[in-house]
Amino acid sequence: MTAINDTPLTSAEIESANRQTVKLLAELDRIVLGQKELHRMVLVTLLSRGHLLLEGLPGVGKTLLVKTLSELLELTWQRVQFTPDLMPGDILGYHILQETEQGQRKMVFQKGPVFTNLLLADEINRATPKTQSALLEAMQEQTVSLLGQTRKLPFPFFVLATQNPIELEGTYPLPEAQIDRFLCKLNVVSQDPDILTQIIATRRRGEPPAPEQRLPANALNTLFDLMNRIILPTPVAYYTARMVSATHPDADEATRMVRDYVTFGASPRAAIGMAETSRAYALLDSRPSVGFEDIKAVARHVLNHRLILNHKARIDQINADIIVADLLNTLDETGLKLPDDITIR
Amino acid sequence: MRLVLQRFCVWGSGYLLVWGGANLMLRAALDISPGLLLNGLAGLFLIFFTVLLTEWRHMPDRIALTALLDQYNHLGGLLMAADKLDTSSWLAKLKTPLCPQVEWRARRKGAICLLMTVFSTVTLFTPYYLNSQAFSNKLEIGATVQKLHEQVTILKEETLLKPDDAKHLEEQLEQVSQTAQGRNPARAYETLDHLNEQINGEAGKNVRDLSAKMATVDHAETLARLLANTEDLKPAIRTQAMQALTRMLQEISGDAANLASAKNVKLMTAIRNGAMTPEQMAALPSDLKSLRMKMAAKLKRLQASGMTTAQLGDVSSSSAAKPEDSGLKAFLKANAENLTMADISALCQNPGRGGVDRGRGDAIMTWKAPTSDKGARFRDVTTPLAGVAGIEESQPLGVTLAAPPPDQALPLIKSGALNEAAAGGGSALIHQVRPRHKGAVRRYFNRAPKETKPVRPDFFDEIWSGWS
Repeated sequence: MTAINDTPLTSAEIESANRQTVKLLAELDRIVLGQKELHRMVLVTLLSRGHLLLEGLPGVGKTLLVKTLSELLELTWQRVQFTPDLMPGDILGYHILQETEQGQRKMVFQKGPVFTNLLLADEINRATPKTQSALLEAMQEQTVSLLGQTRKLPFPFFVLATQNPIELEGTYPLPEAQIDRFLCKLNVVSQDPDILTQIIATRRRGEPPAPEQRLPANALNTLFDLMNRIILPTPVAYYTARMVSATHPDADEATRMVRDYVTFGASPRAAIGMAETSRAYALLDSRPSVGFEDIKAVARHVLNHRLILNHKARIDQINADIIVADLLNTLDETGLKLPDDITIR
Repeated sequence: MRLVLQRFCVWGSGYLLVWGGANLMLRAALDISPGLLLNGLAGLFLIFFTVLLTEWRHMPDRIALTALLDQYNHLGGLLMAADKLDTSSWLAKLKTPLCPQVEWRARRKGAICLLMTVFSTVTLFTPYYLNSQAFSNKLEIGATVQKLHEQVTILKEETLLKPDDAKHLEEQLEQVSQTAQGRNPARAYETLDHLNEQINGEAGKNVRDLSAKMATVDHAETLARLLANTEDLKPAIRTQAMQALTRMLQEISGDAANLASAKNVKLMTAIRNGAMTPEQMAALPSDLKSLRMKMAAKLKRLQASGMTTAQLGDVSSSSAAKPEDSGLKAFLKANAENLTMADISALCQNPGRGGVDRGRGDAIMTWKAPTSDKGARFRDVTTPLAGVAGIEESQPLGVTLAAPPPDQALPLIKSGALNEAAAGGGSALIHQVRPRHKGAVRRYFNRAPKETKPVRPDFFDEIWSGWS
């Protein structure tokens, strides 16, 4: 983990970072076609050092995206295909009895696939809760504790999980505690016909082109350092806090939709996540400060998997995205509490 | 400033509403002049300064205004971060920030404020009498006073009330109607109750007196008619009748002044001396009838004004009818020789109509064709056994575990209406009427009629034909 640097950002630093991120995004867009906004949010999540949950139908390019990203970032990566018979040890590692050269026998820790920079947890909801929970410590503290010994995971450590919203038979929905550990949940949607035409016309068997440019590992650290120095103004922080608070049905500023459809609102971790992702969003936009627009841009992705809706929402076919959109439209950014007949133009 | 105006508009409208209402009440209750009430306008200045102070205290700080400017110009937090970072290089690339305009949609609140201003102005210049009428405290007792006035007038016109008493009552009624106030309605109503009792008490006393005299006139009229229409009375009976008539006429001598006026003096003298001429005797029934009709009309008027009871009213109206002379003549012609003074008295007291003293039992019964039992049939009804019927009136004495044994001591059902009735404590409720009494009942109705003295059938028909 990098130490926090208080040095004010300079325009040159921001420009330099922007050039790198633009290149990275352009390369990502070139390899994985037609998901520009998704790629931007993926990069925002990584710059925020958060974990990402990708949800989408089979074949839309979730795994390809994660694999490409790991290659572009020059990070080590491991892929684990989650199945119902997967055990925690298959992810975290286990001790095996080995004979040393001196003829002694001792327990040696065999690292699991979690000891990597980028862990692709494919179809994470197919593993049992016991196995899913094995990732809790790794995702939050970036450590693995086994037999009383805690081992640090390499820095940076990201979990990029995918899950399929259909074929729910034999799956185990992620517990709230674990879902809350994912910074963002992004929906991977199908491509439009133009993109599909481009894919099938230019790529044999759908194989993506090889990466031409990669982001060096130290460049990523620089970006993390810049992230720490992005300024989050107090009014924006207040707006973020009000928004997260307004997702609770008993809050003063809760909208009618929140009161009607939400059982539990977002946690403080969501507010922290919004602040971090908005910083990354500002960085991608070459700004040294976070504005209200950045909060609005990331709010949907940070909050949508954290709102626990009631049965009424299911009956009325209301999802978290609609509720967050309503919240964004209703909540006044500045919090001036003007009378109804006073407007600012 | 627009926020100040907006809030002042809301608060000022409320104040003007309250002030206008207060104006109305103060002008009506205390008759305060509009000029003095105008001082209430000072409250608007007070409200303005209060609003100014409130808005000044709630004025957003610099950070909030910076955030507003940043958000308005979509500056991405550059303006807000200017304190901590030199953002000029970024801001230089952007266009000059615009200052947001505060807009107030004042149409609705302005209209309400204008309406309240008009209202409060109108309350200042509303004519005084409208206010005083609206807040008048006078008690509305006009209908009651009018009714009592009418009753006093009737009593005065019918000479049932002395003029001085009538004047005194009218003065009291006038005073009550002028001084009755809604603040103390009990006092006015108590006075009205008292006057009502006084008027009705006076009227009732006069009505009772008038009714008694009217009965005497009634009797006297009948007796005079009887004496005028028969020559065959025994001399002794005629003398007694004349004496009775004289007594009656002397009793009503006060009201007899209302008899045909030209003959008053001579008639009264003749009555007092008991020496009436045949002409006077012949005219007396019509004079008495005229007097009776006047008294009846007087009673009817009192009844219509609500001063007499319905019973008195009925008496007065029914007394107006008397038998015709033809019927009486026929009756007297046939029975004059046999009439005694008691018969004459009975005739004079309207026989058959009941009387206050003797009652209906004294009336002569009219026998017509008896009810025939031809075709009548008894319907056979099986009455329940005494023991079964008695269950409904029985009272439980206890509960047995097993079925109770049949009571051998109970006698079998025998004859007799009071069969199985308790000795000495028997009640009519448990008396059983048995079918075997059917024969006794039939025999009773089939019995031969008794020998009775024949009554001349047309005796009372003649009487009743004259009354109808």
